Parts: sequence; structure tokens; C-alpha cells
Amino acid sequence: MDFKKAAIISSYISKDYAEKIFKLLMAYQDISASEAASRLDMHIRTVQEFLDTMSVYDIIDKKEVFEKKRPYFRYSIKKKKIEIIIDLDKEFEKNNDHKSGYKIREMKNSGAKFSVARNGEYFSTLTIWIGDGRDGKERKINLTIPQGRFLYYLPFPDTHPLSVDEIMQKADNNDIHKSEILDIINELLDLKIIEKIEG
Amino acid sequence: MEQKLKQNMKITGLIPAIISIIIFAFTAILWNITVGFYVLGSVMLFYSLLMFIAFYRTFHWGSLLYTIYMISYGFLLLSVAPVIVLDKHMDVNDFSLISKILFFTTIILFNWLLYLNIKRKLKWRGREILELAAQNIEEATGNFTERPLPTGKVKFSKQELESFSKFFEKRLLGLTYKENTRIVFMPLKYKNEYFALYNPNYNYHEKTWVAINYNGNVSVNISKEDYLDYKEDLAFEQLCNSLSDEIIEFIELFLDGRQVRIIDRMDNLKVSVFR
Repeated sequence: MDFKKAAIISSYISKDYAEKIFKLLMAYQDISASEAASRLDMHIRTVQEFLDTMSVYDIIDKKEVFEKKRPYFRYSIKKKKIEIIIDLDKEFEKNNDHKSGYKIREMKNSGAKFSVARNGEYFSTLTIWIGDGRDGKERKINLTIPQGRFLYYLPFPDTHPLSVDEIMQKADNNDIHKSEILDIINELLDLKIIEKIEG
Repeated sequence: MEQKLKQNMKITGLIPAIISIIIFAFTAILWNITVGFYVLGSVMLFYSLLMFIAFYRTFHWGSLLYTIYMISYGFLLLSVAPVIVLDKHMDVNDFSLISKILFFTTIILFNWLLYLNIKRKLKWRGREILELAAQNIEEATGNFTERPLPTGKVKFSKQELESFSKFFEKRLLGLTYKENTRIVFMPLKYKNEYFALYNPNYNYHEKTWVAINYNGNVSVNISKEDYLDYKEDLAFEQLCNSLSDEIIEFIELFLDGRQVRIIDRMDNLKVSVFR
């Protein structure tokens, strides 16, 4: 399940009437939106929206029935256990290997200020000024030690760029820190502090 | 050899002298010439204290000589102050014996210091170090960045680095800072020494330095101020690597007992005594 889907389901389940509707669905073989609304003394549109959403996510079964009246929908419970599972590994592609085949270096006139840690062997913070003049804001990013070590070995502007793996090797960084390094690279690419050279 | 650094037109080196003259003139006009001499003598004794601090920091014998000169000059002014009268012809016999001794001592020390200055024995060598680093570096624009560059690994022991750091200061190549895991060598340019020596909040991290940690990792930082001091924009990474190589070569020469070669290399640049 992705974050978007999980967020929608969670928001509906957290409604104060969610428990009452599910209680009805467990008690009834199937039920229409108007029956449920009248039973719970709620507005039919609120109940219908809830039931439709749950059916989209396969928690409730929705069937169109034809009686004397015009066709309408009856709802029944489909899953008696509702689990919201987000696979973070899959979600954020932990290794990101296929995305690190490019070379990088610091961008010309990036304006970023790299502050060296106490022992002088890595950067501890990165300060960036966003905007100009009075509207300019200072943004400070506290770096993890692997990130700080990585950036310490980042090639200078206009020099021969290096791949992420080459810089990691120079910085003596362990592969388990690659995802956090890729995270700061993506952020710095967005902030135009570093530039990507394809190839 | 073409010099790559701009002319240094700073008057920082003259600031103490200018201050002394202003104070002397101010007190002499406001009170009288005797008070002026007393105050100027006291100022000289204060400067001698500053010179002693420089000696204590570097163990450079020239600073000790300056200290003695300032003491001698200060006491000379204090000793002649009571007998100095404006618009009156003064004779040597008007002064006490102690004043006469101090006068000759001051003159000898002054000339000695002047000679040592001309021979570059009292000159901070940061400018020469930066000149040497810039030799054979290509021009390139817009690749300066205000961050250090790791330049490689060396195999010097902690004792060797500490020993070289003493030489570095004693020969006025610059100042060194011992941190927990490394030694920072900061070349110090002539006329910049006042800030580095007497400002307790001096932030050497933002200056030009070469740092070597006890595992042998070498890092270089070149300050924006020093980079802009070059006449042309130079390839920054090459410049950092060159400065690092230069300091490493100096350490190797020092450990080989060829310290004189280090000084020769700087003297051969023939950088003006007053730059």
C-alpha cells in the first residue's frame, strides 16, 4: 500500500461514525446506504461516500441490485481484518542503485556555506540563502556524519565530476549510508548547490 | 619570476606607529611635552608587552629583540621626559647616564632590527608561501568555493608534525593550531599578524590553512580574501593541491635537516620586504 492510499483509508477510518457503520456491516448480510443512514440517523450522502470509498479500496463489497425501484447499491463487508501496511523499502527504493549512475560536483557560485565539524574531517552543517535582499532567508541543514564526509569530498565547481560511488569510496563511506547520501544529493540538486553531469 | 599576488597597499603595519604619534601629539598639545614623553614611553612599554606575547607564541628571536628594543626605547623616553623642555637647546650633558646608555642601546637595537628587516629575517612569510603555491597554476574563472579540499594522505608521525609546527612558527611561516586530531598550519602574511596574534576571537578556520591529522589525511582551505588577492582567477582545485604539496615538501625538507632550502625557496621569490 502506498502513502496516498493509506492516508485516505486512515482518514475515513478515523471518522467518529466509522465504527458505527462497520458495526452495522458486520451485523447485516448487506445494507443500502439509505438503510444505514436512517438506522444511524446520519445524512445519506455522508454514509454513501464512506461506503463507496471503502469499496474502492476493496474493504466493502458493492453490488448493484434491481428491485421494483430504480437500481441501487447494497454493501456488505468483504474484509474482516483491515490492515494498513506500508512497505517503506519498496516505497523509497532503499538502494536507489539505478538512480546513482550519474556524476556530480559543486555548482559554480552555489553560495552555500559548508561548516566544518570540530575534528575538521567532515562538514557538520550546510547554510544556504534562499531568495534575495530583505526577503532572503537562511536555511541551515544539519548533516549526518556520512553525509558530511561525503560532501567533504565533493568535487569543486568546474572540476572533473565524480560518481556517487567514487565519492563514497574516497570518503570511506559504508554502503549502508547510501540512501541518506542520495537523499541529501537530491535535496542539493533541487537547491542548485550541486550539479549533475550525465554519463 | 612573475609574481601572482597583488601589491599589498595596506598600512596595517604602520598602525602602531601612527597611533603612537597621535597619542604623543595629543598629550603634548593638551598638557606639555614632558607629559607627551611620559605617555609615549608608556605606550612603547605596552608595545613591548605585545611583542613579548608574539615571542611567547612563536619563540622567534626577532620578536624578543623587538621586545628589548621597545623596553629600551620606552625607558629612554621616560628617563628624558623630566628634562625635555620645548624651545631650549639640549646638550648631551643635560641627560642622565642612564638616559645616555638607553639612547645608545636603542640606536644599536634600531639599526640591528632595520638590518634584519632588510634581510627578511623579521618578515612573516605567508605571502611567499601563497606565491609559491600559485606558480604554474592555470587561470580559470568562477571555480572558487569556500570549503576545504581533502588533498591526500601522508605518513608523518605526530612528533614530526609537532616538530615542524615549531619550525613553522619560529621562522615566521605562519601560526599553527593544535587540535585534538590534527595540526593546522596557517600561513600568515606580513601586516596580518596583529589580528592573528592579539585577537582572542580570531577564527583561523575561515583563513587559509593546511591541516594534517594524525592519521595522515591532508586538507586545504584557501580563504576568499587570499584567493582574491591573486591578480588573476586561478584554477582553485589546482591551487589547493599546490599549496598542500608545498607544505608537504617543506615538512620533508625539514625532516631531512634541509630547513635552509625552505627559506631559500621563499627568498628566491624576492618579494619586497614591505609586502
